[in-house]
Order: sequence, then structure tokens, then C-alpha cells
Amino acid sequence: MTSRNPDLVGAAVIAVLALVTIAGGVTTPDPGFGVVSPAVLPTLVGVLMLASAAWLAVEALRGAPPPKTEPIDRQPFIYTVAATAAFLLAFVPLGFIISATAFLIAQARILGSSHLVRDSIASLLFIAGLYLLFVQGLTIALPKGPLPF
Amino acid sequence: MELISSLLGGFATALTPANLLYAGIGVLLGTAIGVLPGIGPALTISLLLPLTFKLDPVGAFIMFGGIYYGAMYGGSTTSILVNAPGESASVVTALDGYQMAKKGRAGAALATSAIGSFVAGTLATIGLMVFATILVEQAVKLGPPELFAIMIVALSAVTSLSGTSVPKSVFATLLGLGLGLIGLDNQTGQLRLTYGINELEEGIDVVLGAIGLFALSEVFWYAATLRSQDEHRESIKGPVWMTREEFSRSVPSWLRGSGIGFFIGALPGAGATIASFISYAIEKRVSKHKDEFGKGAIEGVAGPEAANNAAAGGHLVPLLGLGIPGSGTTAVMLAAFQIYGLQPGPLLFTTRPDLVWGLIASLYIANVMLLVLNLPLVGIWVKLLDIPKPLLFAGITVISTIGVYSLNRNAFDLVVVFALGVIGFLMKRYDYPLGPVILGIVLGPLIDNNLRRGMILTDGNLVAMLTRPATAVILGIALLFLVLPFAIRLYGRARGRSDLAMLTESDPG
Repeated sequence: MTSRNPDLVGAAVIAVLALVTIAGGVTTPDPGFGVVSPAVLPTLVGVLMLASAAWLAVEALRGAPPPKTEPIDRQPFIYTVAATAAFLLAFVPLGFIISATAFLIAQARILGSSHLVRDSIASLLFIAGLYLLFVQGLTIALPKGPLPF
Repeated sequence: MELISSLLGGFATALTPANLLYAGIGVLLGTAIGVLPGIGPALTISLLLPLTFKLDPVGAFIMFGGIYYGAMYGGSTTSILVNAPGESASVVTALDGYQMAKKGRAGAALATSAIGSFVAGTLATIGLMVFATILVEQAVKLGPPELFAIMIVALSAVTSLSGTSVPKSVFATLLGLGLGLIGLDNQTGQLRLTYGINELEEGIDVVLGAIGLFALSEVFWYAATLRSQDEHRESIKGPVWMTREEFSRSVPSWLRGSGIGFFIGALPGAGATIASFISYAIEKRVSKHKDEFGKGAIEGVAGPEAANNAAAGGHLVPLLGLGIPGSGTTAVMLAAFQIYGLQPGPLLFTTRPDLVWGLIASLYIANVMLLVLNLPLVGIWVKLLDIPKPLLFAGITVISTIGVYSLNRNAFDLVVVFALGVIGFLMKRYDYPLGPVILGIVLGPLIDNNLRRGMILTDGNLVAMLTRPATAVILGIALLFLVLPFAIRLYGRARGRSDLAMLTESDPG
């Protein structure tokens, strides 16, 4: 990890977010009726956010202790974030059963499980159970993907 | 008495076989999910929301009542046996509960927490019934300016009471408000903060917020701290029951905890976590066995457990009475009401008394069910902790995805929830509280609406609006909340009291 104070980085990120919010606020068109324009509150939120960024920066520069952070286990973390993103993107095109089963097996491995057979069986059973519960039991439509169900 | 007849009507609704079944399912699922580490009541309700989509509103809310009370209860089991609280409100329970378990008194700790939860839950439901009805009578007189002011109180309380850094809490609240304002403005039909992305027109649902910020971020957190995961579980030795002495030491703690929990829980913004910390501090102060605290004092389990369950009842007072949530969990409950096109508050008591009183009656029933089920089933709850963690966390992602997708059948929501998961992880890592974000998402549009409707009443005169007597008093309370953490911290520092400093620490619920 770097030696930068994470609170200063945080303040900078918040400031950017605040400016984006202000930009979105002031560009909201006012149709002219109503006493308060719809632009007011979003702009106000952005301005206050900018103030909170400044406040956080001042506290950090005055020597407030930065948050204690443990080093991240990079590999499982990055793989988990990537696997989750892939799963969410594949959920509709590949369908619930295929995407979720593949994700469960992959995710269990990423998180350190070494029982591929056990995980595959458990994943299939779990997905089958969820499918029965939500799709058959509660008639909630989940994406099918290439499968007929 | 009107109250009694309304309640009897509620029981008539809740005691039908179908509704009893829903309450039972709710209690079991709520406890089961609440037991799992890292999953608090707000997330439990969000995850289980799709289960209720096909029910009629009455059945759905009866199930929610069960889930809510079950989830509050579930956290204590993990606190006592694993020293890993299932939710933040059970952190204090772990202090003495785990020590009791180490001494072989796990059974007694579980028993005092189960019975304490029952006592507190029942007393709090009585309190809820009485105070919500009183509030409803008064609430009819409140106009948009007052409602606006009350929401400001809720936000300032949550901001001041959560997190260790004030600017970070302020930011978290503003982030929530900003997310809540995204989409179509229902007064003028203008799009706000959508930046040309059509999918944002519908706004960001609070359920997405809860699942992204609490569920996905928790999975990411687990992955990021994989190597430092280490848990040692105490087994239950002997029967799950108390000795006569333990029982008589517990009773006053349950009662004190119930009172503290209910009233603190009813204040907007002050969570079950704070109630349990205060209860612990008081138990320690009044106890004849001060030396046992931290080493397994039964009062240290009985009081806080009663307090956090009573707070759950207290939280429902502003939600049902005013339609204003005071915590992350009740914000999700409000979202659940909105899915059914219902707006809790004074009107709902007159338009849907069956629903309101059915919900209240089902809370009593859920409490009894929890008492009857939990002690005998504690072995099963503990077994849930045997689910291999990799599969468990992978499963949370899958269930979260079903929950998000079933809301609007919209693939874009999955992108939003992923983004919120990453944001939640970063916020958690760098000590930004997440509870205020959830509350902000729900309150954003409500605040905006009431502010603008209030301004119409006073012809655009902000000063006139904010100085209406009731509004001014309520805003004064908001100001008090904003000053409070500074005052407590200064006092704590001056007296060298670390327990007071702890009170102002994180409360994600």
C-alpha cells in the first residue's frame, strides 16, 4: 500500500463526486412552476458534499489519525470482484442456472475451497433448490438463457 | 377500549392458518439468516424481500414482522458461541456472552438472551402499540414543514451517532440523499442527476442500496481479509437453561434493557447498537457483581440483548406513526411498503387497519414463536455456522442477485448493485458508516417533497417555513443531535471514559 493518507485521497474523491453532483444539479431544467426549482436540493447536496470533503481534508492535514487498514489479500479480493462482475454481466444472457452454478463453483475455489467435486454438487443442488423455490414456487421469472427452463 | 378492539382485530387477521404460517416462515428465515456473520436485519429483509412478492400485503408484512424480530434475535447466538457478532447490535453481547461460553455457561447465556428478547420484544410491542397510536393522533396535525423538520432530525441523529469521524458521516448521509434524488422529479417531471443515462430515470431503489452496500461489500470484505479469518467456537455444555440465581439476576436487567432499548430505538437515528451499549454501561454501573463484567456477567448479556430487541420495536414507532424511518432497517421496511404502493403513517391506520394491526399482532406472535423455537433449535442454528464459508459467501451473492433482478427485471440494476458493492467495500475499509447512506436514499425524495410543499404553504419564504413554532422546535432537536457527539466526546475525554467514546462508534443497522 502507499504511504498516502487515505483520508486525503477520500477527500479528493468526495470533492470530485461533489462537483459532479453540483453539475448535475445546476443543469436540471426548471419548468417554471412550483415555488422551489427541482435543481435546488441536488445542488445543495453537492455543495454540502464539497464542504464535507474540505472538512475531512482539514482534519487529516491537522493530524487526525488515518483509518487503520489491514493489508488486503489481493488475489482472492481481485478475483472475487472480477468473478462477481462477470456473473452479473452473464446473468441475463446465460440465464440464472448456468451463470449462477458456474459462479458458485468459481467463487468457492477463489475463496479457498479445494473440494471441486463437493462444491460442484453443492452448487448444483443449491441452484436447483433456489430455482424450485423462486421460479416454480413463487413464479418469479428469472432469465433462462439458452436453456429451455 | 378502541386500542384493545383494534388489537383483537389484528389478532383475527394474524391468526389465520396462512398468516401464522407466514409468521413462522419469517421467524425461522430471519433467525437463520440473522445468525450468519456479517448479515444484519436490514440485509436480511432485503435478501428475503422477493419471497414476499407473491403474497398479499397483509401476509407479506406479517412475514416481515417475523423476519425482523427473528433477525434481531439471530445475532446473539453467534456473539455468544463464536465471539463473532452476527450484527452490530450484538457486539456488546459478545463481551460477556462469549466469556460465559468459555466458562461452560453458554446454555445460560443463550437462555437469558432468548428470554430477555421475548420479554423485551413483548414490552416493546406494547409500547409500539400505545405510542404509535398517540403519534398518529398528533401526526394528523403535522404539515409538510414539520415532516421536513422531523426528517432533518432523523438525518442529523444518524449522522451524529454513527461513525468515528463527523465529516465521513456527513458525507455518507449526503451520498444517500444524492442517490435518493436520482431520477424523475415527481413534482415537475424533470430528470435529475441522471446524466443522460435512461436507466436511471426510475431512480435507485433502496433495496439495491441495501444489497449492494451490505451484501456484496460484505462478500468483497470476506475475500479481502481471507487470511486473517480465524474463528474458534465454544460448544454448548449442559442444558440451555439458567440456574435460579442466574434467572433472578437476569430479570431486572431484562426490564431495564427493555425500557432503554424501546425509548432509544424510538428516537430517529439512534440504533439498537447504541441502545445495547447504553444498557451495558448501566448494567455495569448498578450491578452488585461489577468485577464479573468482561469475565462473564449474566447481566451483561441479559440487559443488552433485551435492549437491542426492544429497540427493534421502538424503531417501528416513527415508521408506523409518521411514515418516517429512523434506521437503515426501517428504511428497507419502508421501501417494502412502497413496493405494495402503501405509505405508512397516520393514513394507513385508517385506510388499512387490517394491515397495521395485523402486523402489530403478528409481532406478538413472532415473539412467542421465537421463544418456543429458539431454545430447542439452538443446535440447528449453530449448525448453520458449519456451512463452508466459501460456499456461504458465494451463495449470498447469488441470492442477492435474484433479489435485485426480481425487483424490476432490469439488467442495469445489476450494474448499479455491483458499483454500490465496490463503494460499500471502500467505505467500510476506510471507516465511512453505511447506515446513513441507506437512510438518505429513502429520505432524499421525501425531504425534497416536503420541503417544496412546505415552501408552497409559505409562498416561498424559507424563514417563515422554518420558524413555524412546531417546525422550529423540531429543528432545535436536530441541532442538539448535531452538537451531541462533540459534547459526549469532550465529556468522555475529560473524564477519561472510553465507554462513552465507544457510544459514538459505528452503527450500520
